Amino acid sequence: MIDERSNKKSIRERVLEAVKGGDIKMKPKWHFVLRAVLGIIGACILLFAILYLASFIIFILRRTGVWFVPVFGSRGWFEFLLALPWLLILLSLAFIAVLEVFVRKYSFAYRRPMLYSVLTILFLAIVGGFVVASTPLHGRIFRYAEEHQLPFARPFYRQFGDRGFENIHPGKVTGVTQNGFTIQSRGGEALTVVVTSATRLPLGGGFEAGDFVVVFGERASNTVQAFGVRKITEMEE
Amino acid sequence: MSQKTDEEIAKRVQRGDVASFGLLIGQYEEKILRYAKKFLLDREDSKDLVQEVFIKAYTNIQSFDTKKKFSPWIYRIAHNEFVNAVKKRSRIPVFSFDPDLFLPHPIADETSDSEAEKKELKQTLDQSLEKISAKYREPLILYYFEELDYKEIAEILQIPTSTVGVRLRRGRMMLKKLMSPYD
Repeated sequence: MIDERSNKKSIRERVLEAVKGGDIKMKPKWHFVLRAVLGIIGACILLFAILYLASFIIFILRRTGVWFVPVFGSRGWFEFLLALPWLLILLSLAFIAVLEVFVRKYSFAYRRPMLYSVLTILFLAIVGGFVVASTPLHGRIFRYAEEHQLPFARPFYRQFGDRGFENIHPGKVTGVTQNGFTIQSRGGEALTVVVTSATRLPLGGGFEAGDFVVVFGERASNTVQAFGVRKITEMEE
Repeated sequence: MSQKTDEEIAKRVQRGDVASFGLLIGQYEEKILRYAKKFLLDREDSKDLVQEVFIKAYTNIQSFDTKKKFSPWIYRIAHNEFVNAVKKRSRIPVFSFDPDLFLPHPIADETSDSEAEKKELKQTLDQSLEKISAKYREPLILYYFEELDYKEIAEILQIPTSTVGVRLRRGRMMLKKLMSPYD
């Protein structure tokens, strides 16, 4: 860029000569404004992606009944950890890491320890995820994707949202039997639930037709030996 | 004529006054060159790198906020340039993940070293720069040679002020060990 012959000159002379000769040009102000705006847009997109994923994880955990099984003790927790959508969780963590790297460039982040900005992003992701999951957004997208056979959304929502687990059975009570009750799963399948004195009922028993429940227990054919049953207010659509 | 501040001069450069940029180079050439030589351990291309710093400063001058101080801004450009130069040569990360950046530390007070102690530390630092890793060498140079305060160093390195305090404290301990190796 700068002439080799001018090697003997001072830095000041060489730089000024290059500026005056037009070899070095000042970037216009709009270049930096545009970069800042694109940066903010990028950060917002990342944050929305994190919120979407966090809320989707909560949505599918509720829909599949996995969300409710830790209440049944260590066995419930074990099942819960096995059933977590680790791929989506890792993807969310990767997005959080990218967003963290991104915000570290700004003074509000780098002036404080990294722990604070990481915790802030995690807090936003979790609280925001719960807020979004409490809206009918994912249920609507799921229904819309089903009805219109959307190419990406349908398989995505089906793969995670319709995942069945051997020991977790969410459903609606259809009738009460002598030693338990019957339920109908979201897919329309009828299951007989056997409740014994050892069955854990953290929110109490007294099931009636129309109740929504999550049954935790091993299934043999169409009968589930209930290790635990928990009433839920409603099933995710 | 009243003496203009660096920020006022930078404002004139932003408006297209090239001669004013000459004034800024005049103000910082020696300082940045000293910083380069000490941080890069007298590399033969120090002058070229410093020249690149001023070229980048001119190219990006419109991104400088004239309400802020000019010196941390130009030192930040220099820091980036020098760290990249070290990375290019060594092919290893100069600063990998640093737990000091992750966890909070109590806010460190500016050192209470006496003038004599400061002078002695500065002398030891000058003689044993290569014995101290870049992570601790850089804040020590900025503090003892460039005479910048913790806040300015934090802005240049883009790290919390408390981390600057931690690095300087550890750097000083290394220097004291070098001063009396048998303690």
